[in-house]
Amino acid sequence: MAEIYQVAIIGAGPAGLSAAARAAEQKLSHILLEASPQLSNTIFRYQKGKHVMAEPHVLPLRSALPFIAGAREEVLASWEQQTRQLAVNVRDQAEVMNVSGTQGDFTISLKHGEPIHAQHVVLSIGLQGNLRKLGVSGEDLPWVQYQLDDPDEYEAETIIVIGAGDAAIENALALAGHNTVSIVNRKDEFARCKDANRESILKAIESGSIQCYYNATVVQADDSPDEPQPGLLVLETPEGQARIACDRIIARLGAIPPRRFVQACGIEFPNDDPASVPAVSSQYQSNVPGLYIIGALAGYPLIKQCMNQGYEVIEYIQGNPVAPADEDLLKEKFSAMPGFTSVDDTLTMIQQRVPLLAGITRLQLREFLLDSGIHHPEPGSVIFTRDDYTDSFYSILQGNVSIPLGSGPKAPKAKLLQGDFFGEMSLLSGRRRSATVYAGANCLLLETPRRSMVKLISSVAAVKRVIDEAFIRRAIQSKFAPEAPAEILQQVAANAVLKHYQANQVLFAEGDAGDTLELIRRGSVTISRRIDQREIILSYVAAGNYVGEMALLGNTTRSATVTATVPTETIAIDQAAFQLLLDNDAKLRDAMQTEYRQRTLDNVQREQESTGGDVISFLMQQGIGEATDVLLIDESLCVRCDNCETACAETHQGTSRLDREAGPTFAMVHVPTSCRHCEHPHCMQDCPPDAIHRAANGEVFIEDSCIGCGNCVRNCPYDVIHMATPPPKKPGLLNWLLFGAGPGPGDHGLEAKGNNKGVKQAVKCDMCKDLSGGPACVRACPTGAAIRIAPDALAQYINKNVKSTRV
Amino acid sequence: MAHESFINHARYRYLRLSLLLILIASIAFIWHDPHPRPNGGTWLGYTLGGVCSLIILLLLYLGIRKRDYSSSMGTLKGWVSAHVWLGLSLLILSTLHSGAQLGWNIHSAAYLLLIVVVLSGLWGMLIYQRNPALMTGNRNQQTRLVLLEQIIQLDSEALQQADLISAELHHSVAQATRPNRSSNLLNRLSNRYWSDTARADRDADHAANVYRIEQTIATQMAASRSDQQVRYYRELLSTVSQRRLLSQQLGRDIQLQAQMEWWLLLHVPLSIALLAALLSHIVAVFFYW
Repeated sequence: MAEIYQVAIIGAGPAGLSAAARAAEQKLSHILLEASPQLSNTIFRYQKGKHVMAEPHVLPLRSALPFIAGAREEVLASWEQQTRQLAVNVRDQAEVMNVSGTQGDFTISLKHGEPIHAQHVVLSIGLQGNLRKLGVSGEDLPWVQYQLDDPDEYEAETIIVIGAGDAAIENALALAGHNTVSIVNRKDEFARCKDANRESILKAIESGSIQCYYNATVVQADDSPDEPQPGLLVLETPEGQARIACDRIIARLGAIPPRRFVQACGIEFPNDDPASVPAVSSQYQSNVPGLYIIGALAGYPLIKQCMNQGYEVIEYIQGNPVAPADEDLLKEKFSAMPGFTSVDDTLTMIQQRVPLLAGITRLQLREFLLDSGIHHPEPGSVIFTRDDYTDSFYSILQGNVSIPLGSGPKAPKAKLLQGDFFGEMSLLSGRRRSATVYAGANCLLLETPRRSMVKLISSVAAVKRVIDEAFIRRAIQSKFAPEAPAEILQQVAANAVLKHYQANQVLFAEGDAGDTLELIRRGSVTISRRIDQREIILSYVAAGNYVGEMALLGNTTRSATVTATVPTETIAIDQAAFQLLLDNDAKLRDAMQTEYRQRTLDNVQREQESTGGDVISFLMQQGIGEATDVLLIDESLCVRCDNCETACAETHQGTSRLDREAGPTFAMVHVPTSCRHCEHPHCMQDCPPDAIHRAANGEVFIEDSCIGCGNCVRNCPYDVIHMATPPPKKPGLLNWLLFGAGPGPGDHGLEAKGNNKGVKQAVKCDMCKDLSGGPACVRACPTGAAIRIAPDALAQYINKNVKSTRV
Repeated sequence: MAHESFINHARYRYLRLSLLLILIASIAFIWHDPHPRPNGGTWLGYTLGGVCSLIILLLLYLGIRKRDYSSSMGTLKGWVSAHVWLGLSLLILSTLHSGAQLGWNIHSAAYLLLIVVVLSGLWGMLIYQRNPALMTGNRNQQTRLVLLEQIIQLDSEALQQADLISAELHHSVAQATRPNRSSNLLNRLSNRYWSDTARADRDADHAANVYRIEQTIATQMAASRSDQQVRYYRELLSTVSQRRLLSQQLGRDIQLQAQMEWWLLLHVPLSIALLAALLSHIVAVFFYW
């Protein structure tokens, strides 16, 4: 019988390596299994010289390995050295096929070699481990690669990029500058990528700078020793078999989700969402006793968190009750609370008092609280103000808050008590705060930032359901019936349905029969009618408003078509349910009829001005439907002086965040390439250090904690974020004049040779939030051509502007 | 909220201010009626001179404010609006100050410089009103770079097509589209997009040359006997005339932008000269009168 290790660690990334190092330090019998030929393959594959960041900086490091932010090479060397010193038992090129058995007797089958037996297994395989390969003969030839670290490394080569996703397209475009590039697409179109990438690749294909093989599948890759180019790729195309000589194949086929492997080990996932991760206990144990999960697979993508977990999991396996690394941080956070005894008690108290958080794991709760702040506001003080753009979420740990429903001193007030939560409206709709909230007596609040909340909502179904229900009830209350009794609201809300629409999907069409009103909670819609055989857009309705109200007042044939401009969510309320509200409040019918009358009048006006509709439709195509603030230039006033760009660069470290000339124009309205401060910013989606935030006035900005990963650049559909190094310091005038040192006056020196010392970070428009007086681009426009505008003001803008600039 | 230009900024605030100044100055001028005749040496003359000097300094300060990008002292548009309207008011205020006296001296030099500066500014303002919309219309959704790239593309196509006909024609087409080194220096100096514009400028110059080539091709085509040749000629002609239209479009684009920049080459240096003349005028008045 082969040796039974006390612990087997699968995956030698930062988490696994740290676990193995701790096991070695503790003299446990252990083995570290790694599929690739080197330790920490993901970081090894980072671009040469890339700066590795050590976020979050508040979290202390607890590991047998050192880790300080620095160049990729330094980090890897320090780990390698320590691994050797501790005599960690590493087996590389050991790909694990399956884990079976139970605590005390696990069997790990490998692709090559004898199975391994262990008492405990730590799964730290991350998400980057298994890149999908070609799956044909020749897939492992030296000139076939599955990643591209630095496109500038290759010059004058014939390169074939395989794949049609964002990574493939971005690689192809980056390589096309210095190489002859072809791209192989299995389908007849590019459907799986960002719009901006699709546009760029189609343009490149059209202009001939990249050749595309559509509907083509790879048959095999062969060495061609007699040819000048080392490789030969055989493709099956609609026109027959193609044999292409090349220097290199770069296949970007994505990573194989480890889900199947993980499930085969007996581990359960909480839901079918492909992004979801398996649930683990506070000691990182999965639902299989003895099988632990740490690192990115457990939902922790940051290097430092992973390393800490590696250390802790070994302690837990040995039965040592170590406090997690965040214990001190939480203690400090909680110590301000009245009656604080211990972190554990406080966690229990929070879960008892806040039903929303009762069902989540301790680990999730700890992380949630680490990101959250605890406030003890004075009675009567303002927690947030109506129309603020903040998007954090509040839970009431103790006491109460009051919320005036409507304006004026006599407006009725809603009271929320211990265990309730608020702030979900802005969180979900991406819009301004819908009401002001005042603290009550002896109030203790937990404030959670958007990202932690979004993460929790997407990983715990129960949390999502509770928040959705509250949202529907409160949205109905604040929009239609501030004074309605709770039972009626409950009844109406119970009948309301949450609906999801894709961009350009029709909510309902002119002439349809329908008896529902739809309250838009996220996204926006346009209203259009068919006039003279043409669909004319009459207006734009943003989140927080409703459409289809006439159906509830008796008119059940839709008078116009309503179409989503961006992914949109609505709350649909049918006539029967709404009748309850109408019966309850006599004034509601009048109010809705007044609104309907105003809308009809506006629309009639717009029908006469058909360019207005065309302008709306043009602006919607430019993504204004999800904007909270957009820079528009009136080209009949713009004297092309580019003072806006200069002003932007001068106030932002030498890099302009807007490109005036780029972007389309319609009816003299020009939409330059510049940030729209989206309601649900695409850039925030996948930011590892959570460096992108929205300020109270709505500005979406990037903090200095940016690690330069470039995710936001790729996620932005409007191409308004780019990577930049801070410019070099300017020398004194004489120094420049006499010795030619550094960039001179009027030159930021960004292109200067040797200016690659700084770390590249993402930069974007921050609406000059740190300057008094507003955005520099608008203030520096000499003629008044440039304005910034919120979508609420769009209809008015179009009314005023288009009349004067009819083309 | 709509776009509000520097002309009607804040509902013509500075136009109204200028008219008020002119009105007050005119009433005072008529009422004052000094002997032997109105001039800069009376108390009203000094007052008007002082007001004019202050206005001139304020107008000159625009050059500094424009470059102070983080300044929160009003918007640049407001400054430009004040610059335009107060500047125009100087035409009348300074004339009243001078009492309409002209002579061969430093005082009249300053006055005349002022008039030229204001008129050049007026020209610029009119250009700013007229050109932006013309430029957008002429661009027709293209960027300048795209136009240039299209021209380069068409040039190489034309050469290939001409090659099919005769070496001679190839030579003529090449001649007509070759970069011309002796293009307008002033144009180059005036533009910040040095290489881009210099190249665009050369291309624009070629519209005329290209037009001559079109004539040549048409003449040769008419004389040709071979169907094949006629087809080649027709293709070449189409490429070349497309190229000419793009050249003209580009030329127009550059012309419109240059017009929006050139007047400043007059306006700004003369303003500096005006400042010098104004200082001389004031020194002369106070020390040597």
